[in-house]
Amino acid sequence: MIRAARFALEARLRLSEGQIFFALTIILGVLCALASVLFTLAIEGTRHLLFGLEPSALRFVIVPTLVSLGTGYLLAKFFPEVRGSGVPQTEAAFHLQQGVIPARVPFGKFLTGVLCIGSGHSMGREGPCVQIGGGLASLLGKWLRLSPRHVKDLVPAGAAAALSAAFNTPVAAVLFALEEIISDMNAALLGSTVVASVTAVIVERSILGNEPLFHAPEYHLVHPAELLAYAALGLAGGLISVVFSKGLLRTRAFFLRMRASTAIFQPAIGGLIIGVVLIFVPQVMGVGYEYVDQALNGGLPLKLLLLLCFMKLAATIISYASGNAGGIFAPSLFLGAMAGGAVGVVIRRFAIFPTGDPGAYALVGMGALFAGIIRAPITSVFMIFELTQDYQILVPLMVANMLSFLISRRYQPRAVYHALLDQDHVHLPEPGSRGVAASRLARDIMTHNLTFIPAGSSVEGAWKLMAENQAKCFLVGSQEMLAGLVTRQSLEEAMQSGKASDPLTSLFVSGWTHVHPDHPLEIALERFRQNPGLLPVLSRGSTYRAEGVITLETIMQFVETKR
Amino acid sequence: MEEDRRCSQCGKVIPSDQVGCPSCAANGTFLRSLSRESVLLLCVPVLAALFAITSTAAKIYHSQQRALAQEWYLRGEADLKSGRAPEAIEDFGRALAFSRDNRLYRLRLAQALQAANQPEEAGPYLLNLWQHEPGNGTVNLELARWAVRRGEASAAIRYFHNAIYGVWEKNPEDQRRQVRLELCEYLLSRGERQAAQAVLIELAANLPKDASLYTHVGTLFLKAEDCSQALGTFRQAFNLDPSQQTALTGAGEASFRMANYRDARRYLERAVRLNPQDTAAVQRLEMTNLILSLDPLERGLSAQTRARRVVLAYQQAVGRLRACAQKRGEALEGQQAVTDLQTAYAHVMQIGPKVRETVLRRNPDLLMEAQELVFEVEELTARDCGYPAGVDLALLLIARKHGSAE
Repeated sequence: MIRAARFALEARLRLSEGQIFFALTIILGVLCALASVLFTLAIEGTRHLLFGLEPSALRFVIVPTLVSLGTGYLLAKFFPEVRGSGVPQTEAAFHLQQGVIPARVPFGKFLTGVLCIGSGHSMGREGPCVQIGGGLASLLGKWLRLSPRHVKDLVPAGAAAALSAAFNTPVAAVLFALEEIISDMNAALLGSTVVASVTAVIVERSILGNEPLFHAPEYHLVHPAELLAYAALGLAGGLISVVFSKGLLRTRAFFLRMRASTAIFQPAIGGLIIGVVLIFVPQVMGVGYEYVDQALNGGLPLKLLLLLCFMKLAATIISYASGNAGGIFAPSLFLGAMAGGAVGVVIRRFAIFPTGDPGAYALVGMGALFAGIIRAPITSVFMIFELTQDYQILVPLMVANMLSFLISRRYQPRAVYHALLDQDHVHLPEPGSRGVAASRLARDIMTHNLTFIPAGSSVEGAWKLMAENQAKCFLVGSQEMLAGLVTRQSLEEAMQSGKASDPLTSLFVSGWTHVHPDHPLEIALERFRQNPGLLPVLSRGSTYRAEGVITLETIMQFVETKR
Repeated sequence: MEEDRRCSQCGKVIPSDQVGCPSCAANGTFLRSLSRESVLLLCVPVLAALFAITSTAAKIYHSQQRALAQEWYLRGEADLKSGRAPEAIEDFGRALAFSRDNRLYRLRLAQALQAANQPEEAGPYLLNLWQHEPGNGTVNLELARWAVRRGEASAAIRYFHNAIYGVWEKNPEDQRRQVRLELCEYLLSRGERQAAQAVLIELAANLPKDASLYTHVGTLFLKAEDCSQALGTFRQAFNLDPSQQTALTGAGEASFRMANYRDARRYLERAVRLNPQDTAAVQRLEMTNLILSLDPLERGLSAQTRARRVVLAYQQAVGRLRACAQKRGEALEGQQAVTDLQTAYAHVMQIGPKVRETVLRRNPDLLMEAQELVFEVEELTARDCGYPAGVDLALLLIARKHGSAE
C-alpha cells in the first residue's frame, strides 16, 4: 500500500522532458555565470601572482615562456580540443556533433585559459567562456539523459549564458548565440537562450555588481558631416580586420606546418615572443580592458594609440597562432578602440567640420573591428550599446560596422572562425544553408561501398588491384585518410608508357572537389560534373574522412528508386 | 494490485518490490542511478555552495584590488600635490586599473590631466563623471576649468553655476565661495564686467567675517570697475582688521578712481604708514598729493592761490602742447590753424599775455577761461600724444574730475 502511494507520488512528481529542459536552462545560467566569474577572477589572480605589481624585464620573458611550456604539454596531451578561442569548436560541436562535447573540454579550457591569459598572452576570456559554457551545457544534458536534440539545444544556451556573464551583456550574448553559433536569427532556441542569458547576468551582477564593463561619456553625432569620418573609420576598421584575419590564418598555418612533435613546444615559442614584446609594450598583456577604457575616454595620445594597435595585433596573432588557449573577442575590441581613437585624433586635428571626441571614435572603432573580425555585425551594435550603456552613438556605429563588415568580407570571404576550422579540416555548413531543409541531400545518393587503392602503391600495383573494376575513377588512401583520386585513363596511359613503377601520387587528379553528406542534391550534381566520374562525400568533422562516394551508378539508382 | 512498470532508461520491467530499475542501478554509479528530478533538486544546494564560494572569492579579490588601488591613489595624490602631474597621471591610471568603477580615482585622473595641460584627455573622464553625478560640485568645477581651457565660454559659465549650486561633501559654503571667486576672475578675464559685478554682489552679501576675503572681493570689485562697492568692501575689511594694508591701499585706489582725492590721501597715508615699502601705494599717494596741490577748483582756496595755480597749470599746458606738436611733427608757429592742436595753440597764444597772477585775481572770467583752456589742452594732448605722466597727468585727472562734475 505504502509502496503504491510512493509510486503514485513519483509518477506525479515526474517531469516531462520539456520541463526538465526548461529547469536545466536556469540551472545552466547559474552554473555558467559562476564559471565565468571564477574564470575571470582566476585569470586576474594568476596574473597578479605571476607578475606582481611592477615586474622586471626578466620576469616578463620567463613567465609566459615557462607557463606556455606547461600549457603546451597539457594542450597536446590532455586537451587538444581547447586550443584557441573555443567559439569555432563550440560551433562545430553544435552543427556537426549534435552538441556532444567531451566532459574534459570545459575543465581543460578553464585550466589552460587561466594559465595562458594569466601568464600574459594577448588573448581574450570571452571565447573560452563560450566553450566552457557550451561544454557545461553538454555535460549537464548528457548527465540528465536528455534526448540528443535537447542536448544539442542546450549548447547555445550555455554559450550565451557564459558570454552574458563574462561581458555583462545579456542581449548581445543571446544575439551572438543566434548569429554566430546557431547562424539563424529566427532560431526556435531563442527562448532557452534568453532564459539562460538573463539568469546568468543576474547571478553575475549579484556577485560583481552592475557597473558597465567600460566607462565612457555619452557620445553623439556632433555634425552630420561627421558620418563621413565614421565611414572612414569603418573602412579603416575593415582593412585592419582583414590584416588581422589573414595574418592570424597565415601564422597559424605556419605553426601547423611544423612537425607534429613540436606541438608541445609551439605555445612556448609564442610565450617567448610575447615575453619580449611585454618588456617594451606591457599594455598588450592579457585582456587589456583598462587601456580600452582609457581610449574610450580619449586618455591616450596618438602615438601610443597607434603603437598599441599595431603591437596588440601582432601579439594576438602570435599568441593565438602558436596554439595557446584564449579568444580574439577582447583583442578585437582592444584593436578597435586603439584604431578608432587614433582615427578620431587625426580627424579632430584636420577635419573642417566640428567633430566629437576621439573617445567616440574609439567606441565606434570597437564595434567596427568586432564586426570586421568576428563577422557578427548585429551582435556588435548591441554589444557596444550594452558595454557602454550609450545609445546616442548607434547611427555612426551602424555605418562604421557595416562598412567594416563589407570590406572585411570582400577581402577575406571566409570568416575567421570558419577559416580556423577549415585549417583543422572541419567544414561547417555555410550559414545560409544551415537549417535549410533540403528535400534531397548528397547522403541520399551516395554509396557507402568504398574501395580504396593504398596510398603507397605504385602505378602497376594500382593497375593490378583495379584491373577487374570497371569504374572510371578510384579513391586512393583509406576511409580515415583520403589522399586523392586517380582515373582509369591515367592508369592505362601510365602503364602503356612504361611508368609502371612510378608512385601513384604522380597520377593524382588535380583540383578535385568534394561534398558533405548534408549538401543539397543540386550542389552534389554540379560538383559531380566537375570531377572525373566520382565525387567523394567527406565528413564535415574531418575532411580527410570519406563517408561515401557519388558515382553515375548511384545517381541512376537513386532516380530509379524515386520512380 | 500493483502493475508492472518499465524503466524509462533501459526499458526493462521493474519488479513490483523494487522502487528503481535494478539493472540501471547495478550498471551505473550512484549519480547515474538517481532520477532526473532528484538530480535537478541536487543541483540547487550544489549551486548554492558554488555561489557562496564564488562570492567569497570575488570579495577577497576585490578587497585586494581596492587595497592596491588605494596605494596607487595615495601615490598619485602625493605626486599631484607636489606638482608632478605626469607621475600623478600614471599613478591614478594604475589605481583605476585596479578599481575601474571608482569615481574619485577617475576625478583625480582628470584633475591630473588638466594639471598636465592635457584638457582633451581630461574631458571625457569628466563628462562621464558628470553623466553619473550631474549635481556634483567638484565635477562641475573641473568641467568648468576644462571648458575654460577649451575656450568654450558659455559651457564654462554654465558649469561654474552648476558647481555653485551643486553638492559639495566638505565645507560647501567655502567651496561655493571659491567657485564664485573663480567664476568672477574668469568673467573679468573675458571683460564681462557687469556679469562679474553681479557675481561679486552675491558673493559680498554672504562673506564670513574674514578681512582677507573682503580684501580679495574688494580687489575683484576694483577690477570689475565697481569702485563704490569696492570701497565699501575694503572698508569692511579694514574695519575687521585695521592692519589690512592691502585693504587700505584698495580703499585709496577706489577713492582715487572715484576722484575723491582727499579720501584717497587719507587711506593711502594710512597704508603707507603700515607698509612704507609698498611702492604702488607710495606712488599713488604722491599723485594724489600732486592733484590736491594743483587743483585750482579745490574748496577753501584764496583768490591768489587759485590764480597762482591756474598760471602754473597754464604754463604746464603750453609746454605739453608744444611737446605734443613736436612729437607729431606739427608746426604751431606761423601757420594757419588747421589741426586741433594748432587751434588750441592759437587760443593759448591769444590769451597768453593776460594769464598773469595779478590779472587773473581781478578777472574771474579770464581765470575761468584760462582754466578751461588748460583742461582742453590736457584732454587734447592725451588724445593725440598718449597718456601723460607727472604734473600733466595730475592736470588731466583734475580736468576729468571737474568735467564729469559739470
